[in-house]
Amino acid sequence: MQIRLEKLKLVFENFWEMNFSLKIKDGCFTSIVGPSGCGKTTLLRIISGLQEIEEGKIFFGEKEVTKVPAEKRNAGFVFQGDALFTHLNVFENIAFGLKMKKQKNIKEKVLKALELVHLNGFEKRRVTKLSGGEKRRVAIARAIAFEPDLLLLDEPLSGLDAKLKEKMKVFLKELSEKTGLTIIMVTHDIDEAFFLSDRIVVMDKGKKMQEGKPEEIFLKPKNDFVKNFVSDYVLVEGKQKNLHGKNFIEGKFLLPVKKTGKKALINFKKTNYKFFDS
Amino acid sequence: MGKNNYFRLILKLFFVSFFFFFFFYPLLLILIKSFSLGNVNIIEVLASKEKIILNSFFQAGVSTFFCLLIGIPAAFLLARRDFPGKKFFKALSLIPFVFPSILVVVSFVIIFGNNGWINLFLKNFLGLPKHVQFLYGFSGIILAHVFYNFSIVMRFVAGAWENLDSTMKEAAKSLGANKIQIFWNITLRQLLPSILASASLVFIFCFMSFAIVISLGGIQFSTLEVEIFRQITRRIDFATGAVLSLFQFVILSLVGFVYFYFSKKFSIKEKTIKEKPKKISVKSFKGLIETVFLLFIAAAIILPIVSLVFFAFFNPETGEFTLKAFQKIFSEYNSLLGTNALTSVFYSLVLAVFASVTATIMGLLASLKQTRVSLINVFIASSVAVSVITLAFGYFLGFGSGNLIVIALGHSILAFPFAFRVLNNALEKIDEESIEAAKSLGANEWNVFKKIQFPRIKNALFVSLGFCFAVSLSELGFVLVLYDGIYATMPVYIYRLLATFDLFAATAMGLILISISFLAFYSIEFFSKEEQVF
Repeated sequence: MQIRLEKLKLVFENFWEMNFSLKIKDGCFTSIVGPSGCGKTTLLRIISGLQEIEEGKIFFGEKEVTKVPAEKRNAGFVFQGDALFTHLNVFENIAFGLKMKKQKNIKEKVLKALELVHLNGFEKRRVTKLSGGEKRRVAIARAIAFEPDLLLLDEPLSGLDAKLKEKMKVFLKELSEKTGLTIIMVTHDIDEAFFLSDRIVVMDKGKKMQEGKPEEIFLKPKNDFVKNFVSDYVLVEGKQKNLHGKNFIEGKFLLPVKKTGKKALINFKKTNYKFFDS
Repeated sequence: MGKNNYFRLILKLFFVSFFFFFFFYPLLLILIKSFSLGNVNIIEVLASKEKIILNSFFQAGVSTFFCLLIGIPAAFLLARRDFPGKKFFKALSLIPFVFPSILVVVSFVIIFGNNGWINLFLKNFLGLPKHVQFLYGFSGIILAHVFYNFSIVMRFVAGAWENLDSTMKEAAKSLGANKIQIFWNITLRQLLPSILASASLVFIFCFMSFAIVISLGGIQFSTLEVEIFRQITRRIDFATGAVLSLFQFVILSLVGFVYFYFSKKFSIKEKTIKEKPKKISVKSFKGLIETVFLLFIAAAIILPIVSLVFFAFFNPETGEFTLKAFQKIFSEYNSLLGTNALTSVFYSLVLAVFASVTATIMGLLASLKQTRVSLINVFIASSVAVSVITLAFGYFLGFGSGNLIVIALGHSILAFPFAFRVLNNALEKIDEESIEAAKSLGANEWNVFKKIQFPRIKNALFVSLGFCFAVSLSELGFVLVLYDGIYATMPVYIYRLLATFDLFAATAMGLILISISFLAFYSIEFFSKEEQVF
């Protein structure tokens, strides 16, 4: 579903004002990135209906939802702390939204959601007994089980250890491709945003600093803020190559450095790449 | 074995022997007594007391129901609403914990009695020809129990409510739940452990309530606790007393199990995202109802105290304010009691000081990791199920009556669970890492206690002393079984004055008792800013 935010306005307690417009295409994975306290989570809460705005309009498709309460907006929300219902088991957590929305075939839908997050057989487990990664996946399953128009993810990779974070990144990518859902993710980590998103929005103090494809943000930062935000990263262009039946990416790069020496080692994460057509 | 370890072992042995001799041993004697009945059949004894047993369940059940009915909405206001004087209201809600139960009786007689304020109002202003019987019998007991216990529900549930993770509600909202569905499916379900824990504790307290039932119940309405007292002090039928004590212990153990099960489930977490309480607005209908409810609760707590103060100084016969009641109790030797008021105050203070110091030391030994014994859990669990009269009966069998030190030791045992709760909560708040850091920097166990633990629990020690002091000061049943006509404490003195219908003198003594209790209460409130008492 296409999402349109028109001139959203909200005054923050720390005296700066949110002033924000954005258009998100159907099925697009968009990341909102920015430093802590820049209003990213508030923006997500505004889209979900959990936070009211002073001015502006929100459209889900062609329908204006500005005054529609959160419970009627049909947007799945994955909270930073998961917010799982600790008195309910995994099945009951995922079934909650389906019951509230009076949907049919609850069992079938819960099992399908569990399969999607690779947690088959976890139905009867207590959520308090799950690991951090499992909890996060239950929270995602709960948010997608009722077939929302839109999925909102608030820092979905925070609080996970490095290895798990990499796994979850791949999982979210898969999820986005499999379901074709419109997803908006909030993160402070540009690295995550680069890997997962079709589009990135850089935000500071409630305002949009730049919006574009990930490579545009890295290669053509529009202002000093964005330049500074991506300055720790180097983007390298490469081509796919097949050697001895295995796939590789070949590329050349120059890394600007401050120290000098004869030889150097550089480390890459094997998962930090993405293909693009143009 | 190092010097430290020897010292630790001695402290542990001291602790274990104290509880063996003054808690388990008396109970063991009751157990032995109830199985050495000779010709008496346990089932027959219980069957003959069927009505009393049913009464006990019924009054405790009804009292608990009404405590929940008032306590849960009050908890909501405490946790989710902001209003002027909220701190004062919180402090007020601690009053019933230190209000001696015999004084609840005295003040209720003044307010609800046949010649009490409400009846006077009905007679003089509404022209009712006859008084309305509010107080004596079932309704009086329920009224007093609700006053005494609703704040347990309120404080337990408010604690859990304040700590509910607010994102859970938001998650439910984003999943399509409306306000009622959120309350029913999330809030209430999350609060359930705290509701059930407080309800089971209130049930236990009401089931073994003594002073209120014996004073207001009359002949028609008796409960197990009062019946045990009658059997061992009036009828001198120890066998029946032992069987009833054992039966009561079994019942209360079962409810105690429910209490421990649920109280563990609602341990308060510090790290949840909390919702900000909303301000009450008297301009809206909802806000008005909330305000009226708060005022009603505040009045219900304050009125008994006001009634005591007023009645102690006011002579209804002459319509004047006077000190006669005080002159009377302090100048006359009470032949019925065999003592005078001053001696009575003295005995009460001696017992309360001894009990509060002993219980606090024991509470510290029990909750400090260095000296903690695993037996402590057994004791804490069984202490919930042992009633005051049962323990007193055990003491009677083991140590006889008429010994002030024995009574003081008993009071220490009765106050111990309060000391343990306060100190254990305070010690658990100290993070393990700071203790380990101190050890890594060269501190031995004594230094860990002196430099890390003690400064952090100093307030809790005062709270414990204050609480145990108030518990001992208000205790009636234990002394009544064991005082042998000699050590009439203030509550005993008041109880006997009530029995002779000398309400005027009873109120004067009551005012002295409540004043001392309030000093203890004030010290609790002063130091308890960061300590969790209930």
